[in-house]
Amino acid sequence: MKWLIASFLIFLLGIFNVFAPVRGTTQYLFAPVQYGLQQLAFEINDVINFFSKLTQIRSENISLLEKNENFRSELLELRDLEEENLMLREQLRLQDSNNDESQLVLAKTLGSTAGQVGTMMILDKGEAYGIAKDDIVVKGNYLVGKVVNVTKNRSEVELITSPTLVITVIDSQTKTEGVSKGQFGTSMKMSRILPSEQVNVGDIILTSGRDGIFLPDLIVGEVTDVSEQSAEVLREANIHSIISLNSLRKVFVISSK
Amino acid sequence: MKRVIAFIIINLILVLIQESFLGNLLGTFTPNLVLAFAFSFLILNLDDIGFMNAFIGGVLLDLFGFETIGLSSLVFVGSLMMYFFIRKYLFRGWIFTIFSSFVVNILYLYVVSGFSASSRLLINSSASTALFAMFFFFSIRNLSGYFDNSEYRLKV
Repeated sequence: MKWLIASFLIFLLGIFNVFAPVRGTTQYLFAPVQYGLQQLAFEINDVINFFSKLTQIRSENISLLEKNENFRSELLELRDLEEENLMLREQLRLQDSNNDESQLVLAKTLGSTAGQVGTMMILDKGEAYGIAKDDIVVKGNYLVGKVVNVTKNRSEVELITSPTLVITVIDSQTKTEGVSKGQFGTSMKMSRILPSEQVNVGDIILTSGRDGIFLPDLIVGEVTDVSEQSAEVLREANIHSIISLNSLRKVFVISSK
Repeated sequence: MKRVIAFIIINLILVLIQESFLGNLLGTFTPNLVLAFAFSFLILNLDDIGFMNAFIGGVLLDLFGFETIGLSSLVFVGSLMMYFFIRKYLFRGWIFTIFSSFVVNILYLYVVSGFSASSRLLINSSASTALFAMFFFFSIRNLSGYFDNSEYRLKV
């Protein structure tokens, strides 16, 4: 009770500002101490903020690195799309010029079947995309091959370098006609060239369309060698594909559906 | 007399730390060290010393502040008296004391702020005060146990 009474008395005196000089003196005397304690508190706060922001900066850095990786990935995808776009444009331009009403299906290559490198190729699209057996496979204006097997989501393509694929061809310069057959997955041989007809090294060989299988005017390859004229009735010429068939990533299938 | 001077010095240090150090460091979690110190003696059933510390600490708090001198000590001592009577006739135990320190600090902040303190400040500061009351209680108990067992006896 004595403490309550004492507090009340002091409160009453305080209302009349009796202790103002005491307060002033006390605050003046202890101001440096209070200032020092305050500065100490500020410095401790700065240290804490520094280390807490360090973690924040680290988190931001990791987040930025992740975003950078995502952007790179997106950039690669966009470049891929840009390339596809250019290919589509080119193909459509060619399609328009041929007045062809066939449907183009863009497919990615998945390599070749075992033991068939250079003669066969697998595509990532199949019947589900309208691809059927005997559909022609091209890249731009270059003939790649023919679809020989189809499943729902895969297609097997026989390349023009396959020894079992025969194509009727024509020399774009001399208009000499012949038949092209693959040579062990590396090149082709144009045969049944009449002795009176001319085929020169460097000539571009196109499909003639006479076989009723391949569309005409598709590029098969370039003549690299012509057999010497001899007593044989028919001559032959070696053809190499201008595009690298083994390193194709995307091709078009001319679907007849 | 020595005891009074010792408690004046202790409360002075507590006021300085509370006002100038912890205020800038802990923000709304700044505890009322003076009140916590006073309550710790009440938990130890040293009521008279508790009231004395409440009075001294309250006056010192007002000297370093801007409120009417005597207001803080009046609120502290008055609240402690209410707690004393409740403890005597109704509730006991240290949990009730800790809870009382929480409530008294809310009351004190409410009065000192002119009945306009934010609820966040009231709760955060009072929770810290209750925690410090427990800390002071354990510290004083262990210290007094040390002195009781050694050559130097502290007469409380």
